[in-house]
Amino acid sequence: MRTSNAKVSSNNRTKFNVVDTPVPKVDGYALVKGKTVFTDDFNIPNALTVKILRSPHAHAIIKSVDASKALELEGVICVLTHEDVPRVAYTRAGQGYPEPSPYDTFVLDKKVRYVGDAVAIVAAETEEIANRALKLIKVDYEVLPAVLDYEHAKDDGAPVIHDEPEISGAYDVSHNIASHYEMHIEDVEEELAKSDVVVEGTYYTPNQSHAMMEPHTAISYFDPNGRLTIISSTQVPYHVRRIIRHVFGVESRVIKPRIGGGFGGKQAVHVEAYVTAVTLKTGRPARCVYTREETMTASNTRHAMRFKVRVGASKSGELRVIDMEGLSNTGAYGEHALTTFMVAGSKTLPLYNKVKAVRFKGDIVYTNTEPAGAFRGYGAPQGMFALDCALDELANKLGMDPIEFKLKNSIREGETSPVFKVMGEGREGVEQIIQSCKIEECALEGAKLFDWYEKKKKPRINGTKARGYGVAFAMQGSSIPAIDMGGATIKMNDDGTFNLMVGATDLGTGSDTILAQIAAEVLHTTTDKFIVYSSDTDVTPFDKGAYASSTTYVSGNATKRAAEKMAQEILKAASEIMNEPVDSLHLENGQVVSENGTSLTYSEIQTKLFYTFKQRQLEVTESFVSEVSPPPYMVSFAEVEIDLETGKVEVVEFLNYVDCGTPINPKLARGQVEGATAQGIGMALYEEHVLDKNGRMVTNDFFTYKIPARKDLKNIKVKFAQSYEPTGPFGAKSVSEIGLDTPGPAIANAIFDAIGVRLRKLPIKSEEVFFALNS
Amino acid sequence: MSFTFVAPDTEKELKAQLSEAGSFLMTGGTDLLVKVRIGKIKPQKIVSTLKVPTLHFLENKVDELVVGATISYSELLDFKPLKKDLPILYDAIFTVGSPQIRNRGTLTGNVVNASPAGDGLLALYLLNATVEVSDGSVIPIEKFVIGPGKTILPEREYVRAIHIPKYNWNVHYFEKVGQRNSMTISVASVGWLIRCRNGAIEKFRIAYGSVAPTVLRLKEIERFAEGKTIDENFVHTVSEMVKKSVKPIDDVRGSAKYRKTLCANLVYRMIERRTKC
Repeated sequence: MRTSNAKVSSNNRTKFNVVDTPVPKVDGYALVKGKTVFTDDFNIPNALTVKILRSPHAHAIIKSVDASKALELEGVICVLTHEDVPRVAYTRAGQGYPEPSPYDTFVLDKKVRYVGDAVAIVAAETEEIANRALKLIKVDYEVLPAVLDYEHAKDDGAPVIHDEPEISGAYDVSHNIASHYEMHIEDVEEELAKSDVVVEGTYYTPNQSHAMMEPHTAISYFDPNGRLTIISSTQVPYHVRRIIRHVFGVESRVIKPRIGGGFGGKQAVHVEAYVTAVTLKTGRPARCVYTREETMTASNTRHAMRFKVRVGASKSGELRVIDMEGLSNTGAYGEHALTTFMVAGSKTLPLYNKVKAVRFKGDIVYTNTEPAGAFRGYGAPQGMFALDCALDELANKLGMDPIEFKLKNSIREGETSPVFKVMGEGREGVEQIIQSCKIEECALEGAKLFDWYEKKKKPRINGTKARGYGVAFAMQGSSIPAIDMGGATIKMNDDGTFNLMVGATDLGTGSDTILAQIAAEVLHTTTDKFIVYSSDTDVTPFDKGAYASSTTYVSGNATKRAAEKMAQEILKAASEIMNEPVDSLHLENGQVVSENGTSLTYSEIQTKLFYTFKQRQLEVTESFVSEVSPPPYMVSFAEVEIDLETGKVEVVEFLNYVDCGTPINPKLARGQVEGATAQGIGMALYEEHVLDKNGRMVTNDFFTYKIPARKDLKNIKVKFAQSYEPTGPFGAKSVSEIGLDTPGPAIANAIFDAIGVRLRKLPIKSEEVFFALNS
Repeated sequence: MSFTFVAPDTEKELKAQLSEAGSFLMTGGTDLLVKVRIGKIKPQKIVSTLKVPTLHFLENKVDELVVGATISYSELLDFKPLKKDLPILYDAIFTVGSPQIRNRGTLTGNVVNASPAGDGLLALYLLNATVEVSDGSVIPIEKFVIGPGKTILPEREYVRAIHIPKYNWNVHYFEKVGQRNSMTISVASVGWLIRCRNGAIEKFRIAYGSVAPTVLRLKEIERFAEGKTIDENFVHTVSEMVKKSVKPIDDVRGSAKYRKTLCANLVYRMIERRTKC
C-alpha cells in the first residue's frame, strides 16, 4: 500500500505532487472580485445596529448612567449598562482552557480603565439612530488619577487599577502587577564575573496596532430553533463559544467566515459579548462593526516592553551568559499578559544554547492604556530586539563579525536547550531535540547572497548619506506543544470531490489552501477537488484557532492524518469492490490502481458506496496535538541608508533567509515572510501610539498612525533553506510569525553600523536619528 | 452624515448650485471627503466641479501654463511639456499621495484646501502663480491663501483655473521630508528656484511648507541672495537666516525643534548637489 510518496531524509526534499508548489489560493478569485465573504457581508434581516459608548477618561468610576433621553429617541431599542449584563469575571484572551491570563474583565463594569473602555451598549434600528443615542447618554464619572507610563505602574502610591474583588489569576494587583515570571539556569552573576567582555543595555519596543483591513465585527441571532448563533471575524471560534458560555451561561454556535486579516488582534473576544448581550436581551439579531478608531484605540495592541539585558562572553567569542530583566505593559486588562512575556524568552533564548547561565525575569503591569494582547510574534519580536541587539553590541566589543559570533553560539540539529523544558506558555515547556535547523545555511548562504563581507569593506559615509549593514538571527515555534489541538474531517463525495472541514481559521494566511494541498498530496489528487470549509463550531471539528504559528503544523498534521485514514478507507472499499487484496492497490491521480492494470476512480467508488454496494458514506476525522514545537529559524540582513541632514532612514535592502522546513506553498510562505517584514519595518521605524496627557490616543487613524507604504518597502527578498522537519506535515514548520522578529534588531544594528550610534528604543524615527547624530 | 451631491455640467448651473447655504465645493475630493468622514465639516450639499467641461482644459501659452480647475495631478504629470517648462511643479506634485490620490486630486483643490503642507501649493508660491476666480478676478497665490484652510475665495464663487508663469530658471529643487516615503504629509518641505547670470545669482526664490500657517516665501533671503555666488559661506548664511525665519509648531508628525533644524539643514542640499551658477 502506498498512501504517500514522501520518503525523505532531513536534508532532502522529495519531489512532491502538490506540496511545495505555488498553487493559487482557493479563495483568491472570490476575494479579488469583491464577493460577499466577510462577516459584515452577511445580510441578517431585522438586525439591530450595536454601538458602544466609550469612556473619555483613562481611569474613572461610573457613578450613574442616565439613558432616558437616548431611550426616548425613536428607533432606540435598548441601552445596557453594567447593571444589565452578568457580573462574571473573565479574560478576553482566546487561549486554551484554563487560560493563563487573569480573569480581570467584565462585559461592562462600573469602573473604566482606559480611554475607550466600554461604558454602555446601545442597540438601535439603524446606525444613524445608534450614533445619535450615544450622544444622548449622560454619564456621571468620578475621575481617578491614572497610570499612563508603564515604567511607573509599580511606583508606591500609584493608583490601583484592578481593585475589584472578583479578580483572579493576577499576581499583585495592589502594585498593578498582572503577572510575574522568573527563571534561571545556573548562576548569571558568577558567569558575568567570569566573562572577559560584558555588555549591558536597556531596550524598548513600542505598542503597535494590528492595522488589519477588516475591523472587528460580529453578528448574533437566534436560529429558528432558538439556538444562539454568532458570526464573527475571529481567529478563535471555539474559544469564543467557550467564553460566551462562561459569561452568559448560554450555548452557542460560532461561525467564522473569511477574515480580513487578524495578526493576533482577533485572538480575543471583542465584539461577540456586546452583540450577544443585545440578542439575549431583545431576542433580535444584532450587528456590531467597529470603526477604525475603535479598532485602533479599543481592541488590543502589542505589549510594549522594556528589557534590561546583560550578556557576557569570553575573549574568544564564547557566549557565557544571558540575563534579561523585563517589564511589559499589558494596559488596562491582562489578556495574554504572562504568555507574551514568557515567549519573549522561550522563543529567543534557546537559539543561543551554548550559554552557561541564563536568567529571564520580570513583571507584566497594568496601566490605564489600551489593553495589549496577541500580536504576530507574541513577545518574540520584543525579546529578540533586546537580545539580538545586545549580542550585536557584544560582537562589536569583541571585534568579531556579528554573523560569526551569533552563529558560533547558536543551536544546531540534534541539540537541545534546557530552556525548552523550563519555559512554556504560562507554564513549564517540553523537552525537545532539534531535528531540523539550517541556521548555518541561512547565515552563510545569506551572507553570500547579500554580499555581506564585500559590503562591510565599503566606507560608510558618502557625502551627506551614510550606509550601514545589520544582521539579525531569529527562531520561533510551531504550535504550543502539549496544549493546542486541531482536528480535520474529510468526507468523500460521489463526484470525486472531498469536503475538507477544519476548525482552523484562515485569516488571510492561506491556510485553507495549504491544508487542501496537504490532503491532495496524500490522496493523490489536486487541490481543486477539495471543498474547504472553515470554521463553524456546529459543523467542523475543534481547532484551537489560528495563533502561535500552529496552523500549518497542528492543523496540517491533523489534515494529513485524516487524509491518510481516508486513503485507507478508499483502498479498503476498492479492495472489496475490485475483489483484490489492499496490498496490490495504490492511489494515483484520483483513482485506485491495481497491479493488474485495472482501476476505479474515486467518483466510481463513492457512487457504488452510495447506491449499490455495501452502502456507506466515507468520512473520517482525525486530531493532532504535538509533543514538540519545532522552531523555524531565520537570518535577516538589512542595508540602510541614512540622510545625515534629515535623519531619514531608508531600508534599501532586506534579505530574509528562512528555514521553515518544507514550504507547503512557496508563494504563500513568501507572502507570510514579506508581510511580517513589512510589519517589522513599521515597528522598527514608524509605528507608535502617541497619547495626550489625559491618555487619549492621538494616533487613532491611518492619517496619524503610519504603517509602511509601498515605497517604504524597497527590496525585500526571501530565500528558503533546504530543510525538512520530520515531525511536520511533509516536512513543514511554521512561517507566519518569525518574519517579525528580525527587522527591529537588523535595522537597529545597521543604523549603528552606519553612524556609530546605538539606538535602543523602537521606533527609530527620523527625528530621533537626527538628534542622535547632532548630539 | 447625510448630504446631497450634485455634479452640474455647466458653469452657470455650478454657480446656481453654489448659491445655497451649506454648499461645499469639491474638485476631486481627496481632502474634502476625508474631512466629511471624520466629522470636521458637515456639508448639506457637495457640489462637484468635475463634470463641467469648460473647467477641464490645459492651455500651454508661450509665457504661462493655464491649468483648468478639474485637471487631475495625473493628467498634469502626463502632460509632456510640464517636466520641461515647469520642472519644480512636476517634482512637487509627483510626491502627492499615491497614484490613486493623484488620479483624483487636483491642483485647484490643493490651492483651495490651503494647507501649509500642500505640495503643489509650494510650487505655485515659488512660481508666482495666480488664481483665476469665477467672478473674473485674478489673484496672486500669496494673497489668495490667508491661513490654514483659509482663502479669500468669495462664497458662491469657484476657481476656474491656475495661471503659472513660465520663466527660464537654471536651478530648481524640491524636497519633502515625510514620516514615510509615500502617502505622507510633509513634516517640512522646501523648494527653490535660481536664475544665474555671470556666475552669480540673478534671481532667487525659496519657500517652505509645514513650518508656518501658510506656505512661506522667505523674501528677505531672496533679496539677500541676489548677486551672490553659491559657495559654502553663502549656504551657511542662508541656512542661518532660514532658522530665524521659519515658525514651525510641535505636532504628531514632528517637533518644532526638529522642523526648524531640518529647514536649516535642507539648504545644504545645494552643496550636496554641487549647485553652481
